[in-house]
Amino acid sequence: MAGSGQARAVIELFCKILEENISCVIRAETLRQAKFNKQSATEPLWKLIFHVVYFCTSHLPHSKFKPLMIPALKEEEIVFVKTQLQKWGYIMRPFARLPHDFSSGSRELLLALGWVIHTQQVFDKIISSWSSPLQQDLMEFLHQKGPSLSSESQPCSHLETVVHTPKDKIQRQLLLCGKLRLSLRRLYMTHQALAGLKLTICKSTEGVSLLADDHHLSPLEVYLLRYPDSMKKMLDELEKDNARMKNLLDWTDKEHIFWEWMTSVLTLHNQEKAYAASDTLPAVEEVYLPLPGAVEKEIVAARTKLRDFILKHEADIEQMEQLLLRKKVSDVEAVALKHQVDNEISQLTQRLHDCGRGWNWGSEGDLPQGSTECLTLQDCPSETSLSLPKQSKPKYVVASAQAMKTARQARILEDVRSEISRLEDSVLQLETELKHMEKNNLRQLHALIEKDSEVICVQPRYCKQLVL
Amino acid sequence: MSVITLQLGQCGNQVGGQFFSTIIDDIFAKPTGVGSKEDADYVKTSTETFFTTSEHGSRDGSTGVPKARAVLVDMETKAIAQTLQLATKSDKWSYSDKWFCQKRGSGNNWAHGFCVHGPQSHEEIMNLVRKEAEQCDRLGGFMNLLSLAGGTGSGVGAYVTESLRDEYPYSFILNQVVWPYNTGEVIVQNYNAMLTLSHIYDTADALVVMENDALHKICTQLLNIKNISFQDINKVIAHKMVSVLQPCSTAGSVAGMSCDLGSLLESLVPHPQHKLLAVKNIPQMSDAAREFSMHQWPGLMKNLRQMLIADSPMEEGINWQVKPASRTASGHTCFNKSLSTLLVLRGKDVLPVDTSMFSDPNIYSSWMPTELASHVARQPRMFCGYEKTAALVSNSCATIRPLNHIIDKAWNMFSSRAYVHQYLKHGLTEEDFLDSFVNLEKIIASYNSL
Repeated sequence: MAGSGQARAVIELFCKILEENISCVIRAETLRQAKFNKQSATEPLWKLIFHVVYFCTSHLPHSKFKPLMIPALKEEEIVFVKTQLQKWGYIMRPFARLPHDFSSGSRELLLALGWVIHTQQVFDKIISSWSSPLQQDLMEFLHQKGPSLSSESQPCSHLETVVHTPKDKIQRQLLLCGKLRLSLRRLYMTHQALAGLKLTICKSTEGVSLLADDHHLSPLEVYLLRYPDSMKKMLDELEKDNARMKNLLDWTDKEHIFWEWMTSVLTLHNQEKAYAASDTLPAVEEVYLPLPGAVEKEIVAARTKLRDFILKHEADIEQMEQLLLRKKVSDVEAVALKHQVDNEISQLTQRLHDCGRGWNWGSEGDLPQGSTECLTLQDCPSETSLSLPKQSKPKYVVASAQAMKTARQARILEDVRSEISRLEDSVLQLETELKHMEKNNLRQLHALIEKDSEVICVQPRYCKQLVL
Repeated sequence: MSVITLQLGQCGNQVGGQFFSTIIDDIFAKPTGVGSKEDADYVKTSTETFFTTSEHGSRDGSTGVPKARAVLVDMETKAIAQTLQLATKSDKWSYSDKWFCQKRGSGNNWAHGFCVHGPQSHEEIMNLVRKEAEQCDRLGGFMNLLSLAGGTGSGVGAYVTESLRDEYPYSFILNQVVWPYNTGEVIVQNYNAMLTLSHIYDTADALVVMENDALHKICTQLLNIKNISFQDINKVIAHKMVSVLQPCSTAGSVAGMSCDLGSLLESLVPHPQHKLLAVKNIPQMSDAAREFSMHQWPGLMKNLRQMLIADSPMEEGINWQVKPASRTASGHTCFNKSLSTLLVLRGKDVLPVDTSMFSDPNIYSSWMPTELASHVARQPRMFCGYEKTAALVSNSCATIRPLNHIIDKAWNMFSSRAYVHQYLKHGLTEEDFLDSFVNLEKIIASYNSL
C-alpha cells in the first residue's frame, strides 16, 4: 500500500487534472474528509460528481466542451446525477437514498465518484481528446484576444408585434424562413470564400511546415508569422498545454496509488457498515430511472389477477389433494372430474391454438372408461386404476411457432407439387387422347374420300404431319 | 465582397456605363469630409467591390486603371461600342474585354430574346461570367441591369437571370429594371414587361424598380434639365443605385464598412413573395444649385419619411395630408404601407442622426416585427459632393402601382390577341402569357395584403 504522502500527492494530482479539464475546483483535503464520511465534504463532492457526470454526458469534443459555471447545486442537478448513475448501472440503494440537503453521504459519494471515473473512463477521454493550440483554428485564436465585438451590439429583443390572425402567423413564418434562407446563403458564400483563402495560403506556403504531417503552413501559423506579438500569447498557451500534458502523464504512472487508496475507502466503508445501526436514512425516492407512469398500477393489477386465479382454482387443488390422500373415488366423482378436466384441457387447447401454438392429443392418453363401482387404487388392476397411468398421460407436442410455420409451408409445398404432377399427367393423357382422336378422324375421313371419288379434300397443312 | 454587373441590352449597357462612371466620380470627389485613412478604406472597399485592379505595375510604375467587374451583353454592337468608348474617354476606369454582341437585335420581341438569342448565346455569356467570377476572391453576387420594354434586355435578360441562378444557386442576384414610359414608343412594351417580370421574379432575389416617368420628373423639376435625354435619366438611375451600394456600415456589423449585397437583400427582401424595391433619394439637385444649398438632417428625414408614406418620387410636390393612419371612406388604407426599409445616410454628422421615425410600426405591415422592418446604414464620407444625402430603399406597396397599369394594358391587348403571333412564332405559347398574368396577379395580391 502506498504511503500516505504518496497518496496525498496523487489525490492532489487527481484534483488538479479535474480542475484543468472539467473546471471543478476541489481540494485533496475534501476527498480525505469524505473517506471518513465528514458532512463538510458532502456538498463539494456533489458538485464534483455533477461536473464529472456532465462531462461524460456531453457529446461535444473536448476542445469545444464548455463546463457549466454553477454557484450552488440545485435539487434537479442532484436528481440528474442519480438518474444518470442508475442508467449507467450504479444501482446502489444507499446512494439512491442519499438526502438532497447535503447532510450526509460524503463517503458514498466518493465511492460513486470512483465508480464513475473507472467505468466511464473519464481520464482516457480527457487524454484522447486533448489537442494542441497549434492545431486550433485561426478564428478561435483571434477571438480569444479581447472582448468580442458582439457584446457591443444590442441583443435582439423579442419580436413584440402582436400577430392576430392565422394568415398573419403564416406570413410571419414565411418571413422568418426567408430570412433564415438568405442568412444561410450568406454563410455558405462566406464559407466558400474562407475555403478559397485557405487554399491560397496552403498553395503559397507549399513545402514549408511546422508539423510533420503537413506540407504547408496553416492560416494560424501564417498569422503568427505576420504578427509576432501574438507569438507570446501562443507561447503561453503552449506552456499551459505542456503543463496539462505533464499532469496527465504523471497520472498514468501513479493512477494505481489512487485506486489503492479508494480500496481503503471501500474497506473502511464495509467495516463501518457492519457495525452500523439499522438504516436510518430518510425516506427519499430511490428510483430515478424513467419508468412508465402506470407501472405501479400494472404490477398491482397483475398481482391481483394472479391471486384471483389461485383462489379460483384453490378448491380444485384441495380436491385433488384429498383424492390423492384418500386414494379412492366414486364413479360419479370420477366422471365429474373427468368432465371437468376435459373442459379445462379443451379450453386451454383452444387458447393455445389461437395463440399459434398447437398440441396433439395422443389417443393413448385417453382416460379409460371407469366402471360404476367404487374403485380403490389398491384393488384395481392397472388398466382400471384411476391413478393416472403413465401411458394415459395426454401426449402433446407444443410446437414452436417457427416449426409450425415451416411444417405448414412444407405441407403446402408438397400439396402443390402433387397437384402439379397430377395436372401434368392429366394434360399428357388428354393430349394423347386428342392425338388418337385426330388420327381416327383422319382415317375415317380418308376412308370416306376413297369411297366417293367425286369428293375433293384439301388437307390442312398440319394434318400432313400426322402419321396415319 | 465583389459584385459582378451584367449589362443587358441597350438600356442596361447605357445605365451600366453611367453606373461605373458615378462610382468613379464618387471615389474621386472632393471634399470627402473624413480623414485620409477613412477615405482610403472607402476607396479600397469600393474599388475591390466593383473593379479589378492590376496587381502588376506597368513599366512606368503606374498600376493601370481599374477595370469594371462587368459583362456586357447586347444583340447589337452599337450600344456596347458607345459604352466602351465612354469608359475609355474617362481615363479613370475601363472595361475588360468581357462583352458579347451579335449583328442582329431582338426587334423588341421578348420571345425572340428569350427563346432564340438566349439559348444561342448562353454558353458564351456564361463563359464570360465564369471568367469574371474567377477573378473575384469573394463573390458577393450579381447585379443585372436591364429594361423591361425592349427585346434583348427583357428577353435575353430574363434568360440570363435564369442561367445565373442555375449556375450559381447560392449567389445573390439583384435585378435593376427600368420601367418604360406609360406612353412608350414600343407598342408591345407591356407584353415584354409582363413576361420579363413574371420570369425573373422567381429567379432573382430582388428587383429594383426605376420608372422612366418618375425619373423624367426628377430631371425636369429637380435637376432643371430642359431637353432631357436618356443620358440624363441614366445619371439619375446611376446616382440612386450608387448611393445605396457604395460602402457603408450597419449597426452590429463587425466587418466595418462593406458593400454587402447579401446583407442588403436579407434586410429588404426576407419574404419570398415580396421582392420589389424602390429607391428614393434626398436631396437631388443640379450641380449649380448644390453650391448654395444647406440641409439639416431632421428636415431631410422628415421629407424622406413623407416621400415614403405618400409614395412621392421626389421632395417636391409631396402630399403632406397622407398619414399612416389615413383611411378612405370605405376603410382602406391610403398610405404606402411597407414591408421593410433600408435608410442609407452619407455625409457630415451622420452618426447622431435620429432615425426613429422610420421605426414607427404604423408604416409597416401588422405582422412585420419592427426590429426586422427598419434598418439604417451610415457613412461619414460625403457622397458625390453632397454634404448630406440620404437614400431610402423600400419594399412597399407603391411598387405595384405601375405593375397594375402594365397588366391592364397587356390584358387589353392580349384579349384581342394583338401582336401575340409575333411571340408565338418564336416558340412562346398562349399558356405562357396566361401564366405570366397569373404570376403577376399573385404578386399584386400579395402586396395588397400588406
